[in-house]
Amino acid sequence: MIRLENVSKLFRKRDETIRALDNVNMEVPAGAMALVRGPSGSGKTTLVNVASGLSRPSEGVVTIAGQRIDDLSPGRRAALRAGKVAVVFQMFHLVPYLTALENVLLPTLADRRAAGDAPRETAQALLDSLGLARRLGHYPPELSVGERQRCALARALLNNPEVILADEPTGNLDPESAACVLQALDNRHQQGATVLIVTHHPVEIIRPNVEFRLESGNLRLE
Amino acid sequence: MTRGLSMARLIMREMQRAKINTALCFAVVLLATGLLIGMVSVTRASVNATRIMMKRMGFNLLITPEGVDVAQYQALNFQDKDMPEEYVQRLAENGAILAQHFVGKYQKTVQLDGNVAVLTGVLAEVPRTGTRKTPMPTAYDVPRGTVYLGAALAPALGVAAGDSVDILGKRFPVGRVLDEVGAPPEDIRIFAHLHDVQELVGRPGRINAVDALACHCQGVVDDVIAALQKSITETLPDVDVRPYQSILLARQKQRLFIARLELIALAIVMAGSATAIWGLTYQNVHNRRQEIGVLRALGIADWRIALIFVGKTLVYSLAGAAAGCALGYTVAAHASIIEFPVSPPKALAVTLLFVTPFIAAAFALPPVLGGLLQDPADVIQDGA
Repeated sequence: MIRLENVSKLFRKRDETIRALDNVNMEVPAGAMALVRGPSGSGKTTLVNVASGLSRPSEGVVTIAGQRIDDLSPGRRAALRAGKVAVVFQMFHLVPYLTALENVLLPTLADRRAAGDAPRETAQALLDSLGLARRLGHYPPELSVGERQRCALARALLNNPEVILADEPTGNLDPESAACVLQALDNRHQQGATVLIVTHHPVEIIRPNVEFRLESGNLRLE
Repeated sequence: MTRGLSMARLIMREMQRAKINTALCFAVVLLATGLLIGMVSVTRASVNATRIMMKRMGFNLLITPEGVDVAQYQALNFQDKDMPEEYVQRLAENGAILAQHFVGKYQKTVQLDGNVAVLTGVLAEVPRTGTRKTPMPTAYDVPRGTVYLGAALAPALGVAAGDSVDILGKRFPVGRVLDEVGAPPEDIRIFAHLHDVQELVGRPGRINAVDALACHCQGVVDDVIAALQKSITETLPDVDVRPYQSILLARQKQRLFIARLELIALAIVMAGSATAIWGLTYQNVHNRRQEIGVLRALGIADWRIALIFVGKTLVYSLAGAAAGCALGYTVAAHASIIEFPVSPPKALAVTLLFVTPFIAAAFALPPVLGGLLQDPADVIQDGA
């Protein structure tokens, strides 16, 4: 479950105050698939950052995976992400000096038991399911853009998160890779995870339970 | 059960990734520890060389019965004042006394065939109890019934080793003729066993001087003489303590100079290496800020992320300290910096091996913590 109540996020640049999120209210029930559409600069990434606890809202209440997080310390918010919440970034953000398999295993540093008793086998199976079985020992610069995003997705899925937040997951991908990534997210949704995808790209392959529109920081149900 | 990613692996990967940064940090620690070990090796060799030279110059402390007239004493009139022979043992047994190498003696000026000579009865040197010291070169262990003659006296008397001389009515074979010292009255002395001289002068169990060597005294120069005198008179209140001040103070000044030099060098090396490690770690953390943001986004605890950088610091600084110790000693021992033998300062090297990684980690920690204080959302977005 993801719930935002009267959430605003303000950024101050010199004398100007930018309201990236403006009194946003959103509820995504547990196990639902939600889609947030919006043009570039509408506040989509800020929404993901606030909902995942990477950023604290300027105002309002954020609840995710059954826990209110807007009043938690950065450490407590990190601990929650480690066990229950995963984020997929548009720019993948793989660690360049780790192999694909090691990148996928990174969450085991946060929560050693979340990936089960055999994290390495789990990671290999995830990469295999995303078509990267032959890329386990390759470093990110040796992977194609689509492969990097699939690798980042495998990393997000390793700890079996209750909630997955995906920020433009297909933004830089060719249609084939985009379909693979969206299919994997839909599979997790089918297995019970709550999934929120924010994008301004077409995502016909998935059928969201709830859809929102974000424009200039204002969110509305579609 | 298979394991996930280990911290050790992540640290090694970070070091491989930041090769130049790691190499520079290693070089900083190597130079810092190398400089310290090299300098301390040389300065300690220098102090040791001075100690040996001073020891060759002889005793630097004279203990006489209370009230002895120094002017008369230096004119070879040793007067009638004397003290118990067991004072030597009491000095040696008191560990609080700032002197060692004690030689009890009885001296009397005598006439031999119209020549002035100083009859000097000595016992073998008594080291401080519980220690083993090489005796002073000027401390003679003369066998009973034998005498050693000073370099000026023997030719004046026309005798050589193996001849005999009459001293106060008793005949003694000459065991040795001593090398020339050059300082009065050393070359006109007749050294004999203390108990032989006590019998000759009719003062059994008595001595009228103790030679000693002032030992390493901590503290400022001005206090050394007073501290030395106090340490002896607390045990033997009825004696006068007469240090050969110029020798004693020169040695003490050298020790203090070297101690200050070592402290200044330590401060400079610490400040320099702290700045370098801080700067290099700051650069490293700054270059890695997006990765730090990603790790935080994945929910990895800040202390674990800090451990990647601090762990790297511990690894390179331990390696750097080991290499620096070896390099510093090798250069000091083989680069002809000093003509005296250089010994490795083992205790300092072991201390540096244990302490350097933690000091380096302390220097590296502020920029690491600074990196962790950044908003992860901001730094991730910077890289987008």
